[in-house]
Amino acid sequence: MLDLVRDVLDKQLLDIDGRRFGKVDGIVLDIRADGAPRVLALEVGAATRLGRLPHWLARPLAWWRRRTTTTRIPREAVLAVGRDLRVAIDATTTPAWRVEAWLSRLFAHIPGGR
Amino acid sequence: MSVAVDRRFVKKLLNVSLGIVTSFGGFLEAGSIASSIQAGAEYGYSLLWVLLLGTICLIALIEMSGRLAAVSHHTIASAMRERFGLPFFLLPLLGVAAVSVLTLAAEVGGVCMALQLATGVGFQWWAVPVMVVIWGLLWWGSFGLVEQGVSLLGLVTVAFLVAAVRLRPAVGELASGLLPSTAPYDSGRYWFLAVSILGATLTPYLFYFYSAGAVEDEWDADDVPANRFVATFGMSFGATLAAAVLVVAALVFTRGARVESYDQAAPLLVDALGAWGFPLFVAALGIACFGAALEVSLALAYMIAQGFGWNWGENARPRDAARFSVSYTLALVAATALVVVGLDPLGVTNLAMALNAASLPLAVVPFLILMNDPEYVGDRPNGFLANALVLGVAVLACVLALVSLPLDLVGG
Repeated sequence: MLDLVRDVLDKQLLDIDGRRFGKVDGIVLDIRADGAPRVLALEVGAATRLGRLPHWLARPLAWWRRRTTTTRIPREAVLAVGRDLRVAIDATTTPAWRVEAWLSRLFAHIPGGR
Repeated sequence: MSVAVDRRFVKKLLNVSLGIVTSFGGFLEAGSIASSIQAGAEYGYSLLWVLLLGTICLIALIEMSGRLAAVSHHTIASAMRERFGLPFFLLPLLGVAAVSVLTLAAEVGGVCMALQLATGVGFQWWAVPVMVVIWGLLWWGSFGLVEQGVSLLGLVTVAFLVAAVRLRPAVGELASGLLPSTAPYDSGRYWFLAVSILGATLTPYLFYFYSAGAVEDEWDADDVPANRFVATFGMSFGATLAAAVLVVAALVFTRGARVESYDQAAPLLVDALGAWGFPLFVAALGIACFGAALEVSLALAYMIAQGFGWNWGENARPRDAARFSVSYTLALVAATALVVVGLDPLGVTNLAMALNAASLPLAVVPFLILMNDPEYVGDRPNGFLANALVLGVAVLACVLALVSLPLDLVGG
């Protein structure tokens, strides 16, 4: 029996190749007909992070929230929950890797950046 | 079989010795040099007890961050984010990061002042070249090597110890300085300097940095005794150097002399070491601050990357840890900007150390909660004494900082 907030939320995510690509910023639940909640997916992204902040803090950053894309990881992709959370996806194909990929391409033009 | 065990033992012994030598050579930095000189010049030995108290607390904190890493394989930042959740985590993150950028400015400023003393060219002109060198060393990902090299060069700070011994301080007076006392005069300034010493000894970046190194070196529960040993001896030896700076300043300067700039401090070692005194002071200041600047830049990037789950590592190539590399780059640019605009390096150092002290509860209280949570430290939680000591000193440092900082700003 897993405690979602204690054991899953804010855990380090590792993709199929062991890349650190973020923390579990949010958990998407589905309420079934009998009222029991079920985990649908995990979320990574600035919008999810901003949604967890107090209103007065998140509001001035609303423009940022609209410009980002959230990565959803279906529960079926979760491989193991330990110190880190391993998932069966390639992070480089997700929006969560967009900034990292953009910076990497930029760095290729700077000596020593490769 | 026994050969393998012996080899492992020798390797561990080497690591422990290297750990102690690098903590020794890397202990002094802008804050500890500045606060020790000012305290010694203005109050003689009577603030030594604050340095002793700070050091005992530092040993406890360093031991804790190593133990957390060894038992949970978590760095402090990642454990804090996980344990307390994102919204609360932002509080210590932003607090420690802001103070660390100011600390970084103090270290970069210290290197620049050493270069100014050596060449006569104004410190502001050195800020950008110094930044480029620090950044280059991090960018080319050779920090593992550089760290040990700089710490070995840092052994030049032993000059302070040699000077202190050569000046033959009266042992009885030294010993009485180790006993807690109140201000002999001008108590506002006395407590401000006490805050500076505590802030310089207990800079939060230090234990965040230490825990990241321990996780990277993949310590496990077997390393807990060695960690305790390195923390105790490395930090004690290091603090002896800070005490030596204070003692030399106490004996060289006229009692009550205010040291308001590094220029005034530069002849510190001349009485004891003659012609070697000035170059040794300049080299010690420059190397100590340079090593600290490397560490603070990395510590800042560690905290951010570990808190948000990005790739990080002292030897990671920029393309493999892009956001991590951007973090130390931006930290260095921000800190260097403060030096370029001409803020007095010693003034920045004093302010940074006072704010380090003020931010201690923010950095330390969540850390203490982690160190008592069996989820993280299993059957090796803190004892009552360590909890009480660290909490007590953190709260004391914060309260003293909040009271004396405004007084000193008004008075100064």
